[in-house]
Amino acid sequence: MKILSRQEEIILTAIWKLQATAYGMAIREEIEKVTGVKMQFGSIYTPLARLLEKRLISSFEGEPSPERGGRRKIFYNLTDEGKKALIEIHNLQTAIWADMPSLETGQAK
Amino acid sequence: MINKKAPPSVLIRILGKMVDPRVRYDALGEYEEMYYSITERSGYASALAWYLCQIIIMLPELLKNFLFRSFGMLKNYFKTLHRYLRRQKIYTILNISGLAFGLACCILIFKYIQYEFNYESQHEHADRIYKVVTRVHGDAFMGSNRYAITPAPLAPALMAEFPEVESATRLYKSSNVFLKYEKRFFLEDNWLYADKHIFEIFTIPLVKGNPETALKNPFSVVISEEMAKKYFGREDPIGKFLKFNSTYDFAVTGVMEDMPVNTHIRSDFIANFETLNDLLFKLDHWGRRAFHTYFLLRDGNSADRLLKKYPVLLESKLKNSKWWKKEEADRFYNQRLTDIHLKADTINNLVPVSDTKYIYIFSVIAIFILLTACVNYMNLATARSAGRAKEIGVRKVIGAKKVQIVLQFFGESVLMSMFSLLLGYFLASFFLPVFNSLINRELSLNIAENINFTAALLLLGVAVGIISGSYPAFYISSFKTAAALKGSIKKNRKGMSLRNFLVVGQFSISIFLIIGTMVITNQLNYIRNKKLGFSKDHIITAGIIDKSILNKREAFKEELLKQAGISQVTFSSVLPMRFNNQIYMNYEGKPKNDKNGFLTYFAVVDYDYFKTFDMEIKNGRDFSKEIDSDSPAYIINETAAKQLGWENPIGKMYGYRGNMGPVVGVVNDFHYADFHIALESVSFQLLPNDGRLLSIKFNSDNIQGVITGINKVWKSFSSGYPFNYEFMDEKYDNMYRSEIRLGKAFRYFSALAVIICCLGLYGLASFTVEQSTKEIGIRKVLGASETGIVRMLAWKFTKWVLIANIFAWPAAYFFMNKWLNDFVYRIGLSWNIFLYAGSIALLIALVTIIFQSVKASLTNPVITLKCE
Repeated sequence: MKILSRQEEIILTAIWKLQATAYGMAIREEIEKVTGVKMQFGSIYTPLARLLEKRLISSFEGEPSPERGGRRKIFYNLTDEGKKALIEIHNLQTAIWADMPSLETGQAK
Repeated sequence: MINKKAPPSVLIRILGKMVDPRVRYDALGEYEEMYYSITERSGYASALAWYLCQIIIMLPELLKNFLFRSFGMLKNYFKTLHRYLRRQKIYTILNISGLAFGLACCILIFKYIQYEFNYESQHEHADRIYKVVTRVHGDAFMGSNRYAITPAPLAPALMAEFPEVESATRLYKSSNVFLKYEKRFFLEDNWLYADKHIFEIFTIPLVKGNPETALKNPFSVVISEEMAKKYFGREDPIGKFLKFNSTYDFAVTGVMEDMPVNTHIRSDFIANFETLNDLLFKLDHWGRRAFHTYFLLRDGNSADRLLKKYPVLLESKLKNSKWWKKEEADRFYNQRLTDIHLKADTINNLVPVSDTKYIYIFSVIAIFILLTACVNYMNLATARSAGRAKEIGVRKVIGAKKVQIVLQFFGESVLMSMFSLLLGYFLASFFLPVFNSLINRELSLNIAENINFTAALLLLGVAVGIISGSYPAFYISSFKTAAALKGSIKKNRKGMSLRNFLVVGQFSISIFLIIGTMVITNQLNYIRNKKLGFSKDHIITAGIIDKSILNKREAFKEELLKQAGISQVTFSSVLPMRFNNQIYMNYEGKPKNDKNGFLTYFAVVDYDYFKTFDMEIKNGRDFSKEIDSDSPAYIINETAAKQLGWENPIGKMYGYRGNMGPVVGVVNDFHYADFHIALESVSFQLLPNDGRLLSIKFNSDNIQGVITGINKVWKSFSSGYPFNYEFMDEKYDNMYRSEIRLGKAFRYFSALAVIICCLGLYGLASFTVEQSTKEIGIRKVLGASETGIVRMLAWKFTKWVLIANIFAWPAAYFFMNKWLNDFVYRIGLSWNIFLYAGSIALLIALVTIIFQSVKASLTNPVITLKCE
């Protein structure tokens, strides 16, 4: 099993949350909303390309629109592998955080 | 929405190049969407600004990626080059050494040219300094009618009457000055007389003394730092006196910095000019040319305007004198200071000048040799390219573009040439002393001192790399990928024919240089061996200024003749090979309308002149003590007799005012000047107590003994002057020093060119043999003999050397004939020289390739044919 990077994890969760409306800008805004950090406009595309390459997401084209200079919107969604990877990372996270003394009080569970 | 402005298409394209190509389509769309939404919110301008910002933000990241990627690639390039060079050791050595020799040659010649063009560069006002020189009509003296000398009153007149002239000075040079201070005495050659204005015109910084007053009074002198040390050691020279020729005292009034070597007024002593009133003659004479006049033009004036003023000035000064000739009024013209060293067309120059001709010749040779070396590189690189075809194939398959491969090979050749440059620099430093003696200069190769020179050298290195890399780079990068990988690139006819063409070029240059060497050597031998009409061997000569000897010429001669080995002694005004005086003669039967008289080269001699120099009296008799004791007597040469129209000259009256006398003999024509000048008339007057040039003929091989003998006599007569002598045959060779130098240069450079050619040919031959082992194997199997194969391989190369002759011969004929035309007495250009040169080139080429050919022919075909 390959462990996703934190960046990949964030993008994948954003895509899953957005479902059918997951395209570049929406993804970026979603990430900004979750993390509270302003992202550079172009910084989303290289990670997206990498995820495509790893076949964790797939893309399909929408209708061409004048706002994009006549280009089609590109939507992303998770592949089965992508979903699997998210589940795995979620499980991993839970496993990591389970049975841990409280960070605030320092008391064992 | 629709009528909104889209981002400029240029920016879209740039952005497109910058984003990850895998998501380019999507990203561009998003950017544009954002762009439109910004336009809607806050207008077109801010949208455009945002778009631009996005591009700029991406730059650092992009640059980092680029560097990282190219570093990897560079490392790979270096690695392949390094491996390749190590595998091909011979090829590497041939290439680098060829280029290094070529570049060394260029470095030296380049430095020489820079030096020559930087003459007079230390003079701050060099561009405003002019020299006034003289041109006369008609009468050619030593083949020229232009003189560097002018009358003494000219400079003061220029300053007084021409507002354009800021300052002017006269110079007069004395060599052979005998100086003494207490126990120290030397003969000095660089003694200059000048007006005090010399310091306003030329940049001559004084270490001690005031430039405005140092040369104010007669018998004052400014000396160089070197001389101050030589004569006065640690003492302060100011106020001390130098004894001049044992008679006069010169007060040292200043010390100047040593002058650099590249100025023609270079001197160790500058003395007050008016002193010459006492030493030479009255300086108010407009008819006597003996001095060099320089002036500093006021800013913003044109020196050409003076040309119109000179005749007016001359007329006002000379109108009432017998020297005045209306048609000679335009005799003065200007010479730029910066032109004197290379472009002076005058004779009687202050110091011997150089000639642009030699700069051109040297530059052409340097370019030739460098080209030969570049050609070597091209030839070997393309020939060897087959060995790298696989590498290129693989690179192309992986995705290298043609540009990348071209750049790779340019990079390699530039790298090689830079390395050769470094090697060449060391070679040049090593050969610098030889080169300096060849050009008679004092160059130094200090790169730190001369930034321009260093920059130019680096540029040269890059240029050589690009030139020699150009053909290989395009040739190799054009390989078809599939063919390159299959290895079928070897039989490329185009590459072959260009290589052969380059070999022809190289050998043309070599043969040209060989012919040049032979022609120059032959002409010099001709000069050395031609019957001159006098003998120059076994003669010692010395200019005498010592009055105590000159006053007792007869006794001195007698004493000398008593010494062992000395057979003749004579006092005269000149040596027979170097006449320097021309006068007008009156002669019997002169027509009334001949105002001037007969112009002839002139010398005064004593009774023993013709005997000392073995000159043959053709008609009449030699001067004789018994017969000619009182009255003036003359001997003329054949040409003079012919020009005067005298069938029987003996007894005819001849001479100049107050010195008329009979012609007693006719001497055979002899070469009284160098071979550039045609023979003219010469006259000798008998004046036993006038000549200041001593010539001693000896018949012993014990030269040291003879000189010891002369010294002994000298000491008993002289008032303290040292005996300073020269050998006449060496002086004779000195007249042709530039030709002798050129001959040497040609010899060295042609040897170098031939060596570089052979390096290339050797590389090419070994490569060809390597490529055709199979062909040779099949030929042998089918019955070819060893000699047949050697002949075949030899012919393959030698035919190009033969073809090279076709280009070299006409070029050599043209240029060498031009060079020979400068001589009145010259050799013809015979076919032998051309044939010899061609054969030498052929022979050297054969020797170079024969080893490879024989080795190939002796290889057992089983070895070459067994594997496929």
